[in-house]
Amino acid sequence: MTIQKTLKVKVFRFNPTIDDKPYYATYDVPFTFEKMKVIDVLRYIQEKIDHSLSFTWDCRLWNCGLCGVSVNKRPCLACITDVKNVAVNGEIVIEPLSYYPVIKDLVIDRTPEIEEMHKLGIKYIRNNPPEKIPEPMNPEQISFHRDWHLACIDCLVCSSACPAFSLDYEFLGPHLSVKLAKYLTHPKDEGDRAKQAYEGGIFRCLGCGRCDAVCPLQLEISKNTMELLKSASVEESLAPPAVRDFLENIYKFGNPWGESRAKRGKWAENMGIEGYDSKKHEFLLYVGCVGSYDPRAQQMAKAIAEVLLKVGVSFGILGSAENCDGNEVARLGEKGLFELIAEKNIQQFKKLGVKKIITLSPHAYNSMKNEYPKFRGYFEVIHYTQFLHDLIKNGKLKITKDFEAKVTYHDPCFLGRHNKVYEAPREVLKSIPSLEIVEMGRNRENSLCCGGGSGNFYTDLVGGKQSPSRIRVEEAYNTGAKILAVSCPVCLIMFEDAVKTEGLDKEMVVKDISEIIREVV
Amino acid sequence: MWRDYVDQIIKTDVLVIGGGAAGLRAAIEARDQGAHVTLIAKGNVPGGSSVMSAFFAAAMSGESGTPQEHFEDTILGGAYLNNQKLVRILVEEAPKRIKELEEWGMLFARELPEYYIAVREGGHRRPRLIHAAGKGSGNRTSHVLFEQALDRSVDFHIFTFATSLLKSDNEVIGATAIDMKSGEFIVIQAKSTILASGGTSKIYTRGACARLNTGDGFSMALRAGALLTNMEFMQYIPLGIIHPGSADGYTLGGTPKAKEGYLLNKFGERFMVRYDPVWMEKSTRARMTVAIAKEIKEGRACERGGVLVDLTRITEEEKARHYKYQPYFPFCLKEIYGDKVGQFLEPYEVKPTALFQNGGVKINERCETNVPGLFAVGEVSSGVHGANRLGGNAMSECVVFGKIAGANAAERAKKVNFREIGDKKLKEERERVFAPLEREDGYDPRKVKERMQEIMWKYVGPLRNEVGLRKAINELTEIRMSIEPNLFSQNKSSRMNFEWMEALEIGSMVDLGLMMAEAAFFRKESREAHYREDFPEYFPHGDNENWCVETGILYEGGRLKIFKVPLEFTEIKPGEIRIEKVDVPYLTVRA
Repeated sequence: MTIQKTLKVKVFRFNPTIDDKPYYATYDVPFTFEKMKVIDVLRYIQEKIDHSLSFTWDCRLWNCGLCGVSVNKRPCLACITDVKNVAVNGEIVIEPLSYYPVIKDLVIDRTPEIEEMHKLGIKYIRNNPPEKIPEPMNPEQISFHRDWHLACIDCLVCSSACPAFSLDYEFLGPHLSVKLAKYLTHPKDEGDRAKQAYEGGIFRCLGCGRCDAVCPLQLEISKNTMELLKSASVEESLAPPAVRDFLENIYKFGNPWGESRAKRGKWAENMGIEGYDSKKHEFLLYVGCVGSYDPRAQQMAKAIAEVLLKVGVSFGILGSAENCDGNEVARLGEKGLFELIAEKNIQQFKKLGVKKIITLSPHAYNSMKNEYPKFRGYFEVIHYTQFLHDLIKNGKLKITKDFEAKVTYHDPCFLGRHNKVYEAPREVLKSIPSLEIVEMGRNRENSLCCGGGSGNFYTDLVGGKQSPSRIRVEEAYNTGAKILAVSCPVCLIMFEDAVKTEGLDKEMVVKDISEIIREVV
Repeated sequence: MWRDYVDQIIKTDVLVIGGGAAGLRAAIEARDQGAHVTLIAKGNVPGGSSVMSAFFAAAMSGESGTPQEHFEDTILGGAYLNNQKLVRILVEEAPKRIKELEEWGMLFARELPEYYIAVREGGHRRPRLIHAAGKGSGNRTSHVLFEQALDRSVDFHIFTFATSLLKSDNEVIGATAIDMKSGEFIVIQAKSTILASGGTSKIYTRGACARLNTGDGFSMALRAGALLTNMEFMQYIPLGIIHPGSADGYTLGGTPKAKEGYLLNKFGERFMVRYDPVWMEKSTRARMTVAIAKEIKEGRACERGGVLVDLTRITEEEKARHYKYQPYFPFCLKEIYGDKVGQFLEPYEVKPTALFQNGGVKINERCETNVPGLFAVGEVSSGVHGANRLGGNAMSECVVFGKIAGANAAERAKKVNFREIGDKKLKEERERVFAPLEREDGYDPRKVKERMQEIMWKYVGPLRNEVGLRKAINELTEIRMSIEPNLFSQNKSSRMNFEWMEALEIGSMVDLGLMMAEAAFFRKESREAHYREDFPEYFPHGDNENWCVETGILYEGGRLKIFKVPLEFTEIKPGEIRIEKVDVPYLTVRA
């Protein structure tokens, strides 16, 4: 942004003793220096404009974890957040961290978190005291513990960003998970952390990566903590029945629903799509489980295939020979099964001579792009929105019709946050005449999750009124958009359901980008 | 009945005031001894300044030296004003407490399987500072202590601001407090009360510590009749950050973090050669502070009014270690001074900032004060550090004496009963506390606080003199007489009202400021943390003939009584320790 002389700061105000409901007060704060932080803004208000604003901080720099607030709907530590990076047109909106009870204004009550910590019994456990201290341990052994879990400063920013976390503590949330993982990775700890994690509802984690995006210490929580705890639980056979079914079905049938393999390619019948043959085809279109079996997501697969056929892209599918990509399996911590799946797929791809893969799902895109190389599976992996974007740029895909509609786009976690692909899908939409894009308040890195990640589209552990999909469709609806555009089969089916439950299906439709494109070529 | 003046009553065996490392350690111990423990803290728990500090000074074994060396360094650093009995306990117990922390799951940085890494700070003849592994700087110790205290079901009350200690006859029998979450006035009746309320650095414009360090504990103890000593020995840390925003006055350690780390004035001169040719930039915090303050005052300051820390000669090995074990250091440098400084390519500017109160409530080896029922531990206590604290001794003090205070407080709780509280006193206290909310007009606490901080920094800062100190005393007295009784909070709600809290803090700060200024006025010499421009002769070691005594303060008949308190030199007599040459590596991996 261009730096304004004056910032417009909207601050959440609420004194439960006096006010019936929260309100926002607006203050003008001079922008005085380049690296001005949010804490400077709040202190200016507190000291110079309005003494009654309650906001708490202690150390001023990255230590005490007390100055966590939500700025423009994104939780952060006020002391290290540059105003110029978060202000939109010189405006910022500051609110308390979500989920926690507000004592007053921006000060939250941490007592529930402390009580839960006590209940979970988060502390070091040793059955036999060490014989000698310093207890001999290989420094390498402590490096993971040191780098990823010891550093947590309890700012609660991660839990406040987590779409699956709310204060009823069916799910312990990322912050307490880090505390648990601290002892799981402690080389000498003997507590049953897997059981604690399981009892804390660790499988409600969606793997969306919002905690990673906001953590002030960049602790990469979803990978280093959540998956680690899930792994430990799965290893001890501690998993909710739905998760067990999910994994078992994938193991046995190659898909979560336990559908027959023969039906996998059914959606493509009579469309003139050929089975992949490296001599004939440049690209493999990898459809994935959701696109193959779910009736709504099949529409998306069809739309992509139709567009590709129309442009004359040389591609084939695997049909009934296709297997699950394993991304959700890995996110659920079942590393053994994931390894099996990845190796099997890689073997198959190599045997068939596959070089380039277009994926329907960002989930498949993520595992094939980032995790298959670890098993020596090196392929050129492209998400279909990237591919469409290229086709449009090269002039190969010509958009011939108008599409008069207000559209808002939801960034899928595994395309956006996990792989930083934010612009390709938007460029595709922008290339359509008469289509107007409106952004939701939380977009790109700060996008919410559809609630379907880590197998939750099947296991459904994060349901109910506070489910992320329902919150998200409300957000989409509030932009005034008539179409909620997605680029992921999981998002598609989650939002399709949520729109119906919220009773918004008359006002708004959920469409995949490919379905919009199909209508305009 | 006194109960009519109170919104809530808590009864407990041991009351701990303060939620930092000292308070938590005391709470754990008192609980282990079977006492019911209530801990109140003005901010969050774990909180205070110990969440910002990562270092423990302890002679573990191997290259961190012997407890005897640690003892001598501490006494020498404290210019013989230490209570040697306390120092002996500190150096002998610190390694045990470190080991105990490891038993509680704390992992200290190490590079070899059976040794810790230790780094050096000014005044230590060996690298002796054990620190936690990992990025971020502090709070991991406090978290381990917090988990242990939580596990022992200590009753925590966060955002609870203690206003006064309650007395019956000559004994402390608990405290009054405001629960800021609800605005309620509460009374905690306790058989033993442990004061662990931390420091004073926020009485200055430039302070390195937590926001809440307004010295309420010192004021409460004084008003309860406790003997305080050495209040003039306010420690400043030489390398305070200069920044246009909130991080101003923060610090990233007291010595340049490299073997070849220099301090330079505007002419590029390593000026420490004129102040401490033996220790140079590895000198004590007090000496470096005076050196920098003088450079600034005499016109040799750089562009932003400070001096330069030059770490450009840092070795690749040292750099790699910073990234691995203390990555917050380059991270914070980058956040504040920009990328080049963060990569150690450019020097950065610093000037002193207030850090630590060496003085405080005088305690004996059992952490008892002169008032029965009142114990003190941590920064609020006095005696361990003498005239200047060495880096790392503060955290060690917290855990060592925390345990002792907790044990003795619990022991006392077994012997005594709860006492009734006087109606009149409680009514008066309630009226005093709520007065700023009830006044319709008056002075704005924020502005008064700022004015006080400026007075203190200007006149009771790193360089002092009689004229300035007299001014400070006059101004503070004026604030006491005409402003303090007329402070008011515009915001009338009692819930989380920081304006109200600040109005009350000003009361503590005036007490504190007066104690510090009067004590500084009284001590006519220069010794380590206390530098008098009109008595520069004996700096830094002090005039041992006349002034190798503590400055005692009592509140009697409505005024401060200042007097000399003789010291007992149980092991080493003043001047006995001599160190001729120092060549300390920044770090050892065999501590």
